Amino acid sequence: MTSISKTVLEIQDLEVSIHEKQILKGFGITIREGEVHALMGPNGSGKSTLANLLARKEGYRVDKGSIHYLGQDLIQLSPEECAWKGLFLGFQYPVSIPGVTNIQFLKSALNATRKAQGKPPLDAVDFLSLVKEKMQFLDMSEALLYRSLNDGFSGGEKKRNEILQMSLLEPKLGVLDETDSGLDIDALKMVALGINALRSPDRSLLLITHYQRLLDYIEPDFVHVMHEGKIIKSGDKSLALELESKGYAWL
Amino acid sequence: MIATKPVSAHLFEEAFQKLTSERYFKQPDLQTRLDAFAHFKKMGLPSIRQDEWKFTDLSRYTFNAFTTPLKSQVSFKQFQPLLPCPNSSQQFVYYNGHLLKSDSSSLFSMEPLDSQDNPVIPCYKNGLSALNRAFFQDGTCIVVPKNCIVYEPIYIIHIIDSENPILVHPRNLIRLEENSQATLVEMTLTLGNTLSFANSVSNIQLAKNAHLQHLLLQNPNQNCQISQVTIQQKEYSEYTGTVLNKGGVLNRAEVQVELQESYTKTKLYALSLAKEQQKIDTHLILEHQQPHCESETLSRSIVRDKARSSFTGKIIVKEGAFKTCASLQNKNCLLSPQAEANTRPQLEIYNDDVQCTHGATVSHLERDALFYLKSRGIPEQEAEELLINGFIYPALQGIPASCIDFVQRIIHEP
Repeated sequence: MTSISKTVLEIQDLEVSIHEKQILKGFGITIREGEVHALMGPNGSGKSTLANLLARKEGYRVDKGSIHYLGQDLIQLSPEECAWKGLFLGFQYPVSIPGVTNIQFLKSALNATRKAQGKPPLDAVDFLSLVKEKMQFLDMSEALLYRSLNDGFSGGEKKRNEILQMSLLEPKLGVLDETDSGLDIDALKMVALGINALRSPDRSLLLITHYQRLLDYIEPDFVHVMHEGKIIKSGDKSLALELESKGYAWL
Repeated sequence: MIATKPVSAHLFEEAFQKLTSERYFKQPDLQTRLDAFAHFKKMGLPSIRQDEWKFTDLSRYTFNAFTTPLKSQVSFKQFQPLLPCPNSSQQFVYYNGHLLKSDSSSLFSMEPLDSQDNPVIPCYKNGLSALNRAFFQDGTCIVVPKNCIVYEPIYIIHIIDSENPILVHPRNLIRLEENSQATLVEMTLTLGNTLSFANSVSNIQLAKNAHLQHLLLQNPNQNCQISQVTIQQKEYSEYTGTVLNKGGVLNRAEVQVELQESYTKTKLYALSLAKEQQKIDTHLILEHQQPHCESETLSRSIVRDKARSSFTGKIIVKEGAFKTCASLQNKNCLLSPQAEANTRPQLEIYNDDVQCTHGATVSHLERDALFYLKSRGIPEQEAEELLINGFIYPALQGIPASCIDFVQRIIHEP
């Protein structure tokens, strides 16, 4: 029993369409506790659809198959319930919301999640010292706390802010959708450092990416290649290196 | 303008006779009242056939049901806890139009309004302002002397509280002399649930280099309120005004700023919050009469249920007012399929060499933003509140720091 760790996410034979167009065509994956999976694939293969679907964005229709998160049917959950149960989506394009300050947002998110998990809310002082500590680790300027959420943030600041949210919310499963896109090499290192710090035996990660370069810094346990709505090849980290040299066409 | 039939005038004839027989008015005040009433009889109440009154329909109200309240025996203490700043020495509190508590700070001077406001307040703009001049009971006249800085806000509060529908005419004249500074809060507290009507007229005059921060709070609950405010700015003066309209079966605010001399600065903000069947109508008029004046007008509205919010914003740049810099922005957020927003941003420019922008939007809460917040565990309702707060935030920039807490309270109370 102890040798096989708990299954966190299990997707079987999933078919999903949006606006009558089928995107996922028989997708399946199993992620166990503590594992880091990388999902790679060319544009349009359905990676972001999968990520958004996992966070329960509306507009997707599940035609076939199942998604079980911690043994529960994920399709029955609302986006906020997913978050409370420890599922976190790091967005490819984080939305900017003028007029809502970052600190207000972070505090609302953390305390709503804590409340749902039966924990007492953090007061202003405790919250601030926690968030400042995490920001320092990610080399983020404190000024970002008092600016409108993602409004006018640079690409790097937005992605770091996503990682900051993940580190505050401490999810069981983090799905990071192209967290490496739009980052220069220093920002990439910093984001990777943040993600690595969040690796733990009871936290799983699904990294969605185009490129091998993120995987230079975050070593995955499994690499999957997605094409036309399903996984066509799985392997260990050497698969990513092979892809980098040969391109997707080789598959 | 279309002439309206003065059908409503006779309704007030008896009330006016009663007022002038019950209360003694000195000359020339009495004569002005008679003139104003004669003027009202000619004009009648504004009608929806007039473009500016298209969204404020007064014909639905039977004005003969309204009475003009007499002075009643109530104590200030009774109402003190309801006031935004209960112990302020700088407050003028009126009960159904009658003065209940006057300022005790003596930082500025007060003069009887009847001798002061004739003819400075343009009382014949329309039937309602004429009616206000003819009928008003006690008015406020504040003069902030030259070089004087009044740090704490000056409150003018009208309490409207009656078992029967009443018609009250608040009337204020505020004058800031050269280099003076003040903060002014005008508000109406409506306590009863019977349909009452506040018809208020204010005139604000800023002399050279005077600075005023002004907050106009209209929160008439299930009652009606119409306010007409005129601001006249002399050179180098600065005016920052915020109009908050919340609720009311009928709620209209009209703010007209006349930039009469050069190098003035004006910031005008408006926020309308309408729900249920409420109707809110906001008119902001900026009149650039001289060169080198700057104005910024920004308005937001949140409309729920079957409510309606209307906005008319007009920048007028008169001939010769070159180097004018003016912007006007109105954004509306509809929270239900039956909610309605009307917006009319207008520019009237009679001059070259000016910089004017205007824009308006009508939208819903952004789905992507809502999803983003929910995906972080924020429940739907709280996420909506956050987005609404973000949306209205720019309209709250002009509120005096000492008032922001109670304004937030008013905004968020159900």
